[in-house]
Amino acid sequence: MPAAAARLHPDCWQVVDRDRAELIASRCTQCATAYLPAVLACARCGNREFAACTLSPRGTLYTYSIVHGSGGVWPAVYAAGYVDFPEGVRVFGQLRETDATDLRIGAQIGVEPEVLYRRQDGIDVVCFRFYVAAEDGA
Amino acid sequence: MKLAPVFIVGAGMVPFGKHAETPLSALGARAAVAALADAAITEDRVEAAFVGSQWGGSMVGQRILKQTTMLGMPVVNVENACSSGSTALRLACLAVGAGVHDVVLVIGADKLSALAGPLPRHPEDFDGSLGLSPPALYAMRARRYMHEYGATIEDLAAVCVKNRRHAVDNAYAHFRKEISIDEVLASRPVAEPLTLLQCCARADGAAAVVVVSEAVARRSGAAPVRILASTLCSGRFDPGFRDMTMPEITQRCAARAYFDAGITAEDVDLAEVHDAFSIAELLYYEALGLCRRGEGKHLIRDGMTALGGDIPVNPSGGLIAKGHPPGATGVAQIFEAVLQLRGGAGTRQVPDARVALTHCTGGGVSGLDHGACTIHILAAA
Repeated sequence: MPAAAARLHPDCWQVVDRDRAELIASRCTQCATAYLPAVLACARCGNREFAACTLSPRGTLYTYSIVHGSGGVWPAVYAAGYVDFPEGVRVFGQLRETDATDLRIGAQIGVEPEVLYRRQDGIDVVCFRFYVAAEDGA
Repeated sequence: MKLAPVFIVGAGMVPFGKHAETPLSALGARAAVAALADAAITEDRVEAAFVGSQWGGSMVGQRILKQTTMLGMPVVNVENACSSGSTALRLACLAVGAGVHDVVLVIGADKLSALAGPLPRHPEDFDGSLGLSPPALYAMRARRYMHEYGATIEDLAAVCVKNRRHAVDNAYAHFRKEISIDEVLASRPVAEPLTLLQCCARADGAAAVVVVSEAVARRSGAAPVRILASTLCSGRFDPGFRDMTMPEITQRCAARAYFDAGITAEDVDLAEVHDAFSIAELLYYEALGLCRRGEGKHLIRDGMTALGGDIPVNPSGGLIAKGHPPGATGVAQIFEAVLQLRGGAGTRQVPDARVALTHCTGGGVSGLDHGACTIHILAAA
């Protein structure tokens, strides 16, 4: 990670290798419902105790869109989607692939660290990003 | 608490569109004065005001009402995203129904034309901080709906074609020119599969209604409309695998509204529905119970929801044709419903309209379908 960089949502992900990331959810110690990001009380059972839970390296793409001209800090074209993880939590994030032919509902999705945008003060904002994983698990 | 019957005796609005030179407070005041004139009720009889706005800033109601003689009374400013104005109406219904007030003014107002790009979520929102915008969210709903139910992009575009056609004679609508499916699909992509003409436009505008008790309604010169149900729900939080083709908040709010009104979906003669994006209207057909799951595409293909069909949806042109000043939208839906139930909607009149439903939902919060949903059911009195 370059020196002038800030991690967005640092409690929710960590770098595993240089080019891989894993997501960290917060799981209810009573009913095992997973939250990302964390909440004060479990929406399902009301329990207020949670344990950190590393999500599986692969999720499934529930839906996605390629977004054009959103403005603000975002690039002219970017892709984003919701990814369902086996631990029962759905996570929104940007996707590496921005061509519709590379994306399909049900695709296996991996997680990587990436600069999402550069702030006005020149600092790169780094967070997790999704990518379409090869079927053989690479 | 059992509420007494509540009526609307006046409705007014300013045309939605670009009002670059007119302050928001002036737009709101014009709508308020128009509603009171329609009700033939003088300003001195208004006992309280509930004012909805998402982007109007602090004290929007006081800023509007200081241009009239109506300050000094209780004024409540309401922010509930796209449901701001309709939530203000809900509060007015409670105040009158509980017997606290007999004459209450409801105003919805927003001025958005100066803003650029999609409306942002709050910076604290997780999905928003990663690039989720309203068009992107509805685009993802559209993608999933098409995947699950075989709806086509032409089905989505047909919603916009219908609503633009409905608004051709509506002097309050921003866009009054008919468009074709090809034009909708050829407009620039915003969030695939949604193109520009499938997204409602930011607009400036205001609308107002006068809410009164039965005693006042009986003595009123204007034709009263009875509010059979005024329901408000917040979205339920689910961190897991929500079905994004079925907005549970609308489904739950509708069940409550039908119960309160003592009717079923079959009794509704027309509906004003929150078509912020093409896909939204199809999803709401199903969530409101106008058809079964996955069958929204047949309603639009068969013309059932067009004027002349079994259940006309958005005879005003909806958000797609009128434009969307979020605070005003829910009250403008009521304006159209009142017009229709009085038989005064001109070329877009739904014949023999007796029962109208208005549905307003929105507010982006991660893990919720929507932040808020309001449904009102009105009947000719």
